[in-house]
Amino acid sequence: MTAKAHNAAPPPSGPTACDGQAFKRLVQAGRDWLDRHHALVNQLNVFPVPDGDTGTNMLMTMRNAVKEVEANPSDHIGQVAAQIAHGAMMGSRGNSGTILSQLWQGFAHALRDHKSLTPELLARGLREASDTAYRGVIKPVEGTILTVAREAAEAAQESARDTHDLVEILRRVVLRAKDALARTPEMLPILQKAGVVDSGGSGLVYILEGMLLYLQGEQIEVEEIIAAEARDLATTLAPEDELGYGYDVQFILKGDGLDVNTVRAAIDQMGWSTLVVGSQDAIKVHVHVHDPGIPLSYAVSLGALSDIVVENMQEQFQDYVRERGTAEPPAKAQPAGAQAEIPPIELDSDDIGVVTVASGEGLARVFRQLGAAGLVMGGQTNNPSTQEILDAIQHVPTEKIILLPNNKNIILAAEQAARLATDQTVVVIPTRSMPQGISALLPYDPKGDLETVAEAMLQAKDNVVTGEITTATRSVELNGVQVASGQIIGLVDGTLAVAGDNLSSVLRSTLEQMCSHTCELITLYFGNGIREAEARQVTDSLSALYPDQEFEVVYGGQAHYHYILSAE
Amino acid sequence: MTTNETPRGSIEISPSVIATLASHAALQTYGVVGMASPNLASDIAASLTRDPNRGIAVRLDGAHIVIDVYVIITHGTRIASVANSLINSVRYAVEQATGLSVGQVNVRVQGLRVSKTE
Repeated sequence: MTAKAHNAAPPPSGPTACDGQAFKRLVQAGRDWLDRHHALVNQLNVFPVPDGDTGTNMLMTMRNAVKEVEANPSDHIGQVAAQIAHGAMMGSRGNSGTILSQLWQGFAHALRDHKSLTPELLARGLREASDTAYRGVIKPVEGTILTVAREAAEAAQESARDTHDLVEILRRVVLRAKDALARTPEMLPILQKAGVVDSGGSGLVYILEGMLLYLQGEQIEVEEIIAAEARDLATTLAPEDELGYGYDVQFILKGDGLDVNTVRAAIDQMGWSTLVVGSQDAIKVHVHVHDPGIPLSYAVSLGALSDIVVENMQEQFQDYVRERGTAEPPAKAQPAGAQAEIPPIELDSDDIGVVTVASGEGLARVFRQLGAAGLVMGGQTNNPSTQEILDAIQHVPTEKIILLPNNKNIILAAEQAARLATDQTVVVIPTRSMPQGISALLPYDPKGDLETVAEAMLQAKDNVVTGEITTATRSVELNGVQVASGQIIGLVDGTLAVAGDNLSSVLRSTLEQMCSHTCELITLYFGNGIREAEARQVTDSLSALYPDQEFEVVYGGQAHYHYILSAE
Repeated sequence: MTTNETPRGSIEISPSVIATLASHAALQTYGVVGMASPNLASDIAASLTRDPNRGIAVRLDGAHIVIDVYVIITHGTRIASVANSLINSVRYAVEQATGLSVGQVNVRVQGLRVSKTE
């Protein structure tokens, strides 16, 4: 992400032609304008899969396209365009990124033997771009980026007949593309239903518009983009070690008969956030360390180094903080409701991290003690959204995630979030209550095999019987239990079991139905409306009735539920 | 046959329904220009077909649905990107329509098609 290009002089060639170098800057401007708006594009994404990554995918594709051509000094537009197309293809991500790369290929194909871009050539390029893109799918869906590309091409062809001004042609192209975009909901019902325009189409409009703005001599500021991405930055910049941020070291190691696994194991010992990939001849290494000398000396003993990058992450962080005007380091893994004195669990990227929903700050603390890396606050009456769960997942720096919804109404949102977290493998253990979640966490092993650990946790969740004591909000008869509004009720594993007017008697009867003297440990998590002394007193009277069982009293802090009981 | 028991009755969804849904999603995925029969490479030519389940194999692995998709992809696209989009689209389409959870979508690229002008 760089704005440098815009400080360069405007295109040297006149407005009726454009050479390779000028075109390069034009494409950069398109990329930057998309960069500035990609978050918006993401939000529009509902077709074909509403995973909210269209803008990011298109941006990645454009970035790679520009990167590919950055060092090319050629004035020959055909060569520049071909290289852009190649970069776009190699960097293409997702549906829209692939379509974008096909557009580039068609465009480059039309330009291949030409030295500079004329109005006729621009029109022909856009035409061929659209044709190529349409050929890439059996059933082209109208109301998508394809429609926008096709109409843009039509506008270019029409305009090229009555003007030779490139800026004017591009202006009309952008106008028509915007118009086509605005009509996408009429063509694709799912867009209308969601009340949005097509996301891929809007990405393409931004790219074209960025080019136009550049031709009109406007400079695209990239400051806003930095702010928009600040949230992501906050996690990547979180201190990963008490010694501070250390250095980000990257290099390429070239040699003969290199063993990637040996190098990876060695580098892994030296720092964190390790990424080692490559072949026998060349290995790309990325690692965060406190002393950049260690991995470099190690690697140089194996072969030749190139493309060495060492960045001071402490400085980056301080710059970041200065810009944001805050002295507080960003919180790692968003420990909502977590207490400062519990150190966050330390995880490597290939460990298993746990994300869990907690309905009270006390419960959050319990989960954190048991090793949960990410917490989402929510419960019976305030179910967290899929987005909140997804955020928590993405804040945990591991590739493998186990997710505990701890409420039957949250399981669905959790599964949805798991599907959306495409960069991580997420397993949802369908825990239906806080005690089930706590019980499931007991066999958790961050270093284990994901499937094995998930299976063990799935088994463990059923080792516990859950009791919940709350106040009925309406009169009802369920499972043969008559309840009047305002009465105290007891639920056993989510089923209404007891109703009464007296809290301690309901508590006693609920417990009776829960474990019938066969369990070993009974835990009471008292809610935010109960004083600790009160909870202890209640527990003492209960323990007199259950001499063989051990009792524990823990502050749960949950709303609405006076007590959550767990018997195991 | 995938059966979903509800208190008011059971819902059975035939694998061919799942295959049709998957096929539809696959053919709408950008970069996919045809479905291929798993075995007959010679069949590639007749990739546009009336058989809605062509190139799709649906099986049950325990409680999970596993869908194998045999496709022809347009030359000049990045196959990995197209395949990833395909997996997402098929999974989404099947899960949306049936409410069942899809365990795996396996993409088998059986061929590349080079378009005439290139």
